[in-house]
This record gives sequence, structure tokens and C-alpha cells, in this order.
Amino acid sequence: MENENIVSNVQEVDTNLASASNTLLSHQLLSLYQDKFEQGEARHKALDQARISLNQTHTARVEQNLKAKNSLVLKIKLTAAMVVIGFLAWSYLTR
Amino acid sequence: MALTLDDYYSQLIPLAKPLEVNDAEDLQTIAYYAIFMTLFPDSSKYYTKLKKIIDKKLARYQLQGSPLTTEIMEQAYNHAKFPEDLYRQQQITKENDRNEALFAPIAIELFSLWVNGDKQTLKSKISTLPADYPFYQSLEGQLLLLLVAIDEQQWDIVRSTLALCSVLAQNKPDLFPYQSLLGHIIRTKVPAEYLPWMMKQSKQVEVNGEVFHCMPFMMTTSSIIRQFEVHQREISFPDVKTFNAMNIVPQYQDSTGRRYVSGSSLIAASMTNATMHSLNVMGAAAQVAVQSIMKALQKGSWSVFIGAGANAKISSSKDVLFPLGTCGYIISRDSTFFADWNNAVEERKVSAGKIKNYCGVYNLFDDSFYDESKQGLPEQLKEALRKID
Repeated sequence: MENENIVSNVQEVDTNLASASNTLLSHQLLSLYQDKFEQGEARHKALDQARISLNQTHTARVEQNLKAKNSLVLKIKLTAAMVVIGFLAWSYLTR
Repeated sequence: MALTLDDYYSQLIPLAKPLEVNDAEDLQTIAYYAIFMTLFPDSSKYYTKLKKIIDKKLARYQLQGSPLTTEIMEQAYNHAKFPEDLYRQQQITKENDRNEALFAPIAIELFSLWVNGDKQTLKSKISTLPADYPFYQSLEGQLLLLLVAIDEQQWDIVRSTLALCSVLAQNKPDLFPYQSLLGHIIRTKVPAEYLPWMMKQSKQVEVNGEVFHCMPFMMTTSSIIRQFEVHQREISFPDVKTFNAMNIVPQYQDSTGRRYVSGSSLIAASMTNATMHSLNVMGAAAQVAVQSIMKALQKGSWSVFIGAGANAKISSSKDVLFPLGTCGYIISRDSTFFADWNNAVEERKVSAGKIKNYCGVYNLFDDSFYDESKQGLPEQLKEALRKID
């Protein structure tokens, strides 16, 4: 019976200590700062990963675009050259 | 020299006038002035005049942009058609956060809430700060925690927070955050027995029967960067392979004995952030003003903080360059060498004299001796000085 009382008293003291600790704004701020710090780290990690993945995906895509653009430009130049050559040939033949 | 509030406010007026809200660093300084005025109100005409100037400047403040998210980044990348567009988007989205200095005015309201005792709103405001404002590791965030801990007499938290504030303020381009904002809080609210290692008087260490007198100090980053400019050397980081933030800032522990696991990461992140930030800001400024700086400064002249924000000077050999983040102990074999500085620390002054001809400097940041005299210093001395409190 006496032991049970002691245990109950100790538990009560623990609870009081815990609640006193929780009511201290400095402890709450420390926990809040820690949470915010962890959220910040997670956010940075997510952004860095997204950046790496986007860089890989879009580098391939824009290089493909550039190739297509260069090939189109080449085709246009060739067509233009052929038109000019054709025109010159036609001029030569019909003079 | 001890300053009254009246002295502070009369001296701040000419300094506040040229500050520009459009300049991020100026904006942060304006915010620190405002925080100081919130914490230490006065009925003098200087206070009223300064308040008018600060309020007028802050009325033009508006936080631009929004925090970077993965969605914004995806949209930006999707718009890129060719490699040059992609490079442009990479440049625009290369920083995860906006400039920390731009957020400082937001903190003024938090200090007002604290002064007015509105704890509930204070907590909810902190919870809803922009995602890219690292308030928890900024000088203003740590100052708020410091004030709360002082009020609740949580002296272990006070000691850790003070040490971190000291590192954060050390890295600001201006002396005001350390000497006045942090300094005045310490001078008026913190008993001497709860000050961290860098704010104490000199201590004696005996090695092999020889007594060394070691004076703790924090070197201002602005003077380090300027000395690199004077030497026309590119600023380099110290060799910190063995560096641990706990070497400088004691780990957070509350009155129930609970240690905060991420405390060390937070402290390391804060310190790196502060050093990098000051390097970017002051490096750019120094390059612009390099000629005038070289005229105004001489090799071997350094500005340091001792005690509760007292600004003092040391002279080193002309070929010595202290690295970024330098803090630790100035060492002498002469028992009376630090008498003037100890007196300044004891009386909580805002400035102290210049010292030269010491035996060397122990830098906690990279665990090295600098500017040793011919006699040298024993390696065992490092071991004794590494233990911080």
C-alpha cells in the first residue's frame, strides 16, 4: 500500500514536471524551431532532388528540340540552296 | 564607456537616415533598429525622432515573391524550349530561398507581441512564417528565444542561445547587431554567471608549469574580409575538416535535461549560412570600395568583440591573415596583459582599447594557432582551451 502511494506520488511529480515544462514558452519555442528546421531541411532536400531530376529530363528534351531545330534549319537552307541552284539552272537554260 | 538609451538613440539617427529599404542589408539593419526600439522604448526626443525615420522607411517595405516550390520549378522548366532557356531557368531557380535579409522586418511584429505578452499569437505567427524564412536560425529568431529564456530563467538555454547569437551577430556587416542589439540585452538582462565562454574574462591555463592567460574573443567577419582585400588575396575558408559546431556553441538543453538532437545541425547550418551570407554581401561591397578601404585600413589591424559586445582592436604581424569564422583565445604569458579588457568585460562596457604583442591566437574554428611569437605555444594548450562552457 505504501509502495503504491510512493509510485503514485512519483507519477504525479513527473506529470507536474512535464506539464510545467510544456507551459514554458522557451521549451515550446525550442520544439517549434526544431520542427521548422527539420521542415526546412526536408524542403531543401525535395527542391534539390526535383532540380536534379528536372535538369536530367529537360536537358534531354531541350537538346532534342535543338537537334530538331538545327535539322529544320538545315533543311530550309538546303531547300533554299536548291531553289537558288534551280533558278540559276533555269535562267541558264532559258537564256 | 557605458551608453544610456538616450546616447544610443541620438547616435543612431544619423546612421539610420541614409539606409535604403531597397537594399536588403540596409533593410535588415533598419529592422534591427526597430527591434531595438521595440525592446527598449524611451520617452526622449531622440527616440521619437528615430522612430519617425524608421517608421517612414518601413512603410515602404513589401515582401516580394513567394517561396520556391517543386511545382513552380516544374512550370519554369516546362517553359524552356532550348538549352539557353533551360540555363536561364536554372539560374532563376538555383536558390531554394529568397534572401534572408528581406524577411527581417516581419520579425519586428513578433518582438512587439512578445513585449505585449501575447504568447499565443506569437506562436501562431512563428508557425505561419514563409517557408523560406529560416527564422529559427536567424539572429532575430535566436534573440527572441534568448529573451523568452531569460524571462523564464532557463539559463542553460540562455547560454547556448547567447553563444549562437554571438556567432550570428559576428557575421553581420555592421557592428550594431552585436555591440548594441545583442550587447544591450546582455548588459541589462543576463547575470555574469550565465554568460557563454566568449563573453567571459580571461582565464589562466597551466601547461608544463607555465601559466598562460587566455582572453576569449570573436573576430568580426567584416574586418577579416577587409584584411583579405588589403592583402589583395582571395578570401579562403579555413580548413575545418575536424570542425564541430559544438566546439563553439554548447548544445541546447532545457531545464528538464532534454537535449535537442537537431541542435547541433541547426547550429552548424546557422553558422555556415551566416558566414556564406556575410561573404557574399561584404565581398561584393569590398570590391566596389576596394580603393577607399585600402587607404583607410592597414595590414594587421583587426576588430574583435569581447565580453557583452565590447568592440576592441588587436594588431597582428602584417603577414597574418585570420580565416573566416575566427574566434577563440588571445594568449599572453603576462598576468597584467588583459587588465584593461577584463575591466571592460567586468563593467560591461561597449568598447575597449587595442592590444598588440601577445604570444599568439588560438582559433577554435579550425583548431590552430595563429600569429605565434618566437617563443611558440605548446600544443597541450589547445586541449585545455577546446573545452567550452
